[in-house]
Parts: sequence; C-alpha cells; structure tokens
Amino acid sequence: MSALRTPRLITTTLTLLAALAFALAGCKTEGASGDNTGGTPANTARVGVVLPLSGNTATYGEEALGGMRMAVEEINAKDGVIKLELVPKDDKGDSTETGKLVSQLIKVDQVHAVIGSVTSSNTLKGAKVAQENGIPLITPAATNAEITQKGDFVSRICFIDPFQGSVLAKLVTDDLQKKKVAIIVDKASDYSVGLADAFKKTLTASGGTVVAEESFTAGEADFSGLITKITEAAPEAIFIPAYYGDVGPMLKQAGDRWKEIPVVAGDGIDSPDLFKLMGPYPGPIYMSTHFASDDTDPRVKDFVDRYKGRFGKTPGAMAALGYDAAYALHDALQRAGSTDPKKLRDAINTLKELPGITGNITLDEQRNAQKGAVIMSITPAGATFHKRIAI
Amino acid sequence: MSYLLEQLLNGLSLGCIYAFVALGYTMVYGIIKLINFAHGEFFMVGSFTGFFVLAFAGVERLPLPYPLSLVVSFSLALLASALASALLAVITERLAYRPLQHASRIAVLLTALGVSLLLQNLGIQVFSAEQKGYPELRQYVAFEDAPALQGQTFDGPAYVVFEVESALGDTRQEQAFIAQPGTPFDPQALQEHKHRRLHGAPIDGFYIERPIDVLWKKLLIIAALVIAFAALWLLVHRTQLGRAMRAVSYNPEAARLMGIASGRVISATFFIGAFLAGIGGLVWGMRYGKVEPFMGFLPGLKAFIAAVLGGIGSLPGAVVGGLILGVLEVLIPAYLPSEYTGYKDGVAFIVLILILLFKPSGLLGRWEGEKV
Repeated sequence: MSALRTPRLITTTLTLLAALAFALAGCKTEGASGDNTGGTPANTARVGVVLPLSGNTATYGEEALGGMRMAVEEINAKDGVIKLELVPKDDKGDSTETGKLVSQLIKVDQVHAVIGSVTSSNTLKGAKVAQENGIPLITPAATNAEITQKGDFVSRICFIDPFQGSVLAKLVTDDLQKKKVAIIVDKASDYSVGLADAFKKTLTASGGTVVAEESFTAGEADFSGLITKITEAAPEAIFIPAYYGDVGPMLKQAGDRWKEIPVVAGDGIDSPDLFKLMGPYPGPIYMSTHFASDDTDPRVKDFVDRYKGRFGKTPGAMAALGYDAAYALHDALQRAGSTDPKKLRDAINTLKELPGITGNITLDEQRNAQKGAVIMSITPAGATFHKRIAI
Repeated sequence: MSYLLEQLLNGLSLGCIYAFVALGYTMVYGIIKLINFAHGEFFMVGSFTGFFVLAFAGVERLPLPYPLSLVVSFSLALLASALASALLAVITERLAYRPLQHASRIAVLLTALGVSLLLQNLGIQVFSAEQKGYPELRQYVAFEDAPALQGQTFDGPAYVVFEVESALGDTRQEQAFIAQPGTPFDPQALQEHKHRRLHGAPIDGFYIERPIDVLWKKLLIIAALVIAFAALWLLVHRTQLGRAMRAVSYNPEAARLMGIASGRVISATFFIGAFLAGIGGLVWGMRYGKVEPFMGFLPGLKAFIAAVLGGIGSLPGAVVGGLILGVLEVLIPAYLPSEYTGYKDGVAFIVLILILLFKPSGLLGRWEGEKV
C-alpha cells in the first residue's frame, strides 16, 4: 500500500510545484510588462494605464498605449516639466478586471493619476474605483454618457454617445437620404445600448423609422439567423452600434447580402482588426470616429508621420486619443504644479482649448470634451475621410 | 429564396457542424462511457491549425493553376486540422484518461474537465487570447504574372503582405490593398510595394482573396457531413476496426478475452472522433470567420447536448441531435419578437432540460440505467 502511495505523493507534489511555478511565472511577466522600475523621483508623476491589450478589443489598447508612449517620450524630453512615468496594465477587455487593476494601481503602485480604459463598460467600473479613492481618471475614448457622472475625479477627452448617436442618425437621414433603418444591438454592452438609444431618438425626430431591431451577445459565432432576419425586414440602412470584434465577423457572414445597403457604426469599429475580421465585405460602411489619419490638417499629418516613423504603421483613432490623453494630463500637471490629486483634478477639470490631434480639447461642466466628430467611409482596403461634423 | 427555407439552411449548416463534434462525443461515450469535455478543445485546435495552414503555411504558393490551387489549399488545411485534432486526442487519451481506466467514472469525468481548462489556457499561451479573422481561400500571383490579370475584377480584394513593427516593439504582418472587390485590377498599383520585405526577404508576389459564396458555404457544409457520416458508417459497420470498436463498446472485458487489443481500439476511437471535430473546427472558422482559444467551449457544450438529444452512444443519434439543435437554435429566434433574439444560446439548454426530463435516453438511444 505504501509502495503505491509514494509515487502518487510525488506526483501530487510535483503537480503542485508545477502549478506554483506557473503562477510565479505569471507574476513575473506581469511585473515585467510595466514600465515601472522602482522609485520615482519627486518631479515625476506616476500614471496608471489600464487598457485591453488582449481580448476582443486588444487593438484599442495597443494603439492607445503606443500613442501615450510617444507623447510621454516627447514630454519627458522637455526641460523643467513634471515628467510622466507610465505603469501599463492589461484588463483583457474584462470590466471586472478594470476595476481590480485601477484599485491595484492606486493602492499598490501608488499612481498619481489613471488613464483608461477605452471601452465604456470597462471604464464605468474603473471610474467608480478611481472616484472612491480620489485619484483623477481620464478616459481617452470611452463614450458612454454615464461615465463622467461617476464623480468629479472622472473626465474624458472624447465626445459622448448622445452626440455620436445623433451625428450618425443625421448621417443616415440627411447625408445618405435613408429613412428605414434596422438596428443590431449588443444588449449587454453599455456602449451599444447607449448609442442605439441616442441614435433612435434623433432618427425618429428627423422622420426616420426603425424597421427591425435585433440583439446579439458579444462573442457569439453564428449570425446567420440574424442576418436573414434583418435582410427580410428590407431596411435602407443598417445601424450596428457594437465593437469590431463582433461587427467584423457579422459583416463577413453577411457576404454580399447587404451589398446595396449602407452599414453605419460608431467608433467601436475603428480598429485595424476590423479589416481582418470582415474580410472582403463588398458593401458601403460608414463610421463616426474621433480622428482620420488621412485628414489634411497639418497637425494631424505631422502626428501621422511621426507615429509611422516610430511604429511603422498608420495610427488609428485610439493612437491619437491616447496621445491626446497623455498631453491633457501633462497640461493639467503643469498648471497644477504638483501631483496632489485634488489640485490635479481641478486642473484637469478646467482644461481649455488644448490643441490636440483629435481637435481642440475643452472640458464642459460635466467633464466631457466638447469636440466634433469625423465620418469615415470603410472598404476592405481601409477607412477614408468622408466628412467632418462640428459640435 | 423564401425566408423559412433560408433560415432552415442556416440552421442545418449550423447543425451539421454540431453533428461533426457530437459524433466524437458519442463515439467516445459508446466505447469507454466517458463524456470527454475536452472534445470542444480538440475542435478549437483543429480550427487553429486550419487557420495557420491557410494564413501562414504558404499552401497557396504551391505551383498549381487557379482554381486547382484553391482546392488543394483547402484540402491540405482540412487534412491538417483533422490530423492535429486527432493526434491531440490520442495523446490526451494516453496521458490523461488511460492511467485512470480503472478509476471511478467521476474521476475520469473531472479529469476531462481539467484537460479542457488546461487546453483552453494553453491556447491562450500559444495563440494569445485575441480573436483572429479566419482567412478566405486565396490565390498567390507572382509579380511577373500580374500584367496578365490587368482589367479583371475579383470577388475579394487583392493585397500584398509584409512586416512592420508594432506599438509593443514586436514585428507583425500588415497588408496593403492593391485592388478592391469589384474594381478592375491595375498592375501599376503594385509598384509602390515591390520594395517591401517579409521574413527578411523581399516579397515577390501578391494575394487575391477568393471568397466562397455564403450560400455555397452552407451547402458544402451539409455535403461534407453527408460524406463524413457515410464514411464513418462504413468504417464502423464494414471494417475489422469497426467490428472491434463495436465489440469493445458492447463488452470491453469480453472483447479483451477474445483477443481484441482494446487499448488500440480506444485510441482509434479518439482519433476518429477528434478527426471529425477537427474538420468541424476548420469548417466553423471558414463559415463564421474567427478563431480564439475559447471558441470550443460553447460549440462543444452544444454538441454534447446534441449527442444527449440524439441518444448518447448512437451515431445516427449524434447527427439527428445536431441537426435538430442547429435548426431550433436558428428557427426559434427567427420567429420570436426581436427583444428575445439575444437569448438564442438558451434554446440549446432548454432542449437539454426537456430531453432529460422526458426522454433521458435521447431520441435514438437506448436506456442503460446510470448516466453521468
């Protein structure tokens, strides 16, 4: 009996050791992924960065982090400024994770401010934690209206969904001259539901009608039933307020069924991975977003050239927003003259006319940026500037 | 095409993929009475293998004329997916299940769950959690052959592939488009890309995507299941191996006493079951357009439900169960008011509950008393 037991004991111990080794290896990589290298000098602000660097919205995180790094390199090269030190964390697109990471950044890493996350459901969780701990949080790109209502430590440098929804509804009714619209919503996403509501309000006000409204769950694989159902409703335009990770496969599965029907979406599909996921989709697609890399504005052109030089590819909206978020924080730090959270909060909340890549940034009473939007037209070959819409 | 017919076709093609996976569940259950929860992960590995073969193995660069090159690319991807999945299953059975062949069934069942989680997490380590777009079949055209295609239009875009450095400092592949679907091809557009490099060497050609029409995809999936099932039926009922499998399934001890190497038969069963799951994985990727490490979980679970619905242990039952489940999953939301379409995943589980309540042996199964 004991002769039999011993090997089993050894196996169990080995298994446990292996599990432990795995866990330790996990910790190690997590630590190494941070830019954090120990003590921070007094004139440096530690900035926690929470972004999806993996998962369904990974390209957002990667681009935004690239933009931030570029901005921080430029800022830290200047003399006599409060320098920035980024502490990046991956929330994997999971909103529970965002809350945990913001808490960890504030309590363990002792950051002075947080930038992130970039999607709405995640940022809602992160914003709540930041507000409770009294540390300023700036989101570069989360557009759901409720986020900044979490409190005065939460602000954003992008427009909000009520604005984006009404811009898209006007695009459908005025620009494309379509009245009958089908809407496909991800019912579990704050971004999707908020944007759909705003869209419907403006659409019905300007004489359009919703001929079909279908819902799906993020990550679902088979959209064939939904596609047939939408096609059957014979809409003149289709509005899909969702992220590229779902819109891409949905369009791919639609194939040429919607070839003649314009598909309209928000900034959630603004990602280079959209093209890999949607494949050779033949129909017209329009999206509203924050920035167009082929914009002729000299400030944009200069940024695009520098980003290309640094990373070897064209920046998307997330890169520009990440860059602007870092500069917004830098501007506030300079005006506050300190990393004290309350002073920093007051400086952020009075941000005015900061010349950003995504437009001039002025925060309103609700700490939302007053900025216009860009409409882009999308084909399998890429997104091109369509028109600019002012506030 | 009428609405009902189109939705039926959607459901049938989905159900066929469930059937591909359910067959493996039911075969393994039939032989060793194990519900192999890792089966969905074999499906995932099959799908990823097909992805890598189509995207990176360079199968489209074999010196074959178009469109034969497409057929060959597809066949190679299919074979690789099925074999990768099958080999993984054989290894899993050897390492994780065989040592437990005399242990209680609950112990093996829990091991299967553990293997499933292990494979999912290995998938994240190896492939990353990011979802990837499944490649369409594509044609490779060398730069010197480009002028011959001048003025032609394609269903898919034409593009070059090269390397750039990403924001995190590693290199990754980028595409640049030279012709959009439906617009005439102009070889002049290639000029600015001829200096690009890939894997340290200058690129020497470009790709044209040749997407299969969605309707054809659905019909091909159904045809594939018919062929696969016919082959499986012949294998089980007309070969020596099939007879051995049936014998082991009927009574493993007696089979062993009759000189059947039951270990080898069990390995073969895992191989064949996962071979089919691997095909299912590739077809799933091509039909629904993406791969990620967790993709096997839900289809695996639904295939399991399909196997239970048809009567676990029964081959025709797995197919019937898969088809019914697929059709219900598409047709019910198709006729429900819009607010409820988001709950379509619930359909499968309601079916499971109903079948367990009213006919626990499944539609074509026979009642054997205890089930796990």
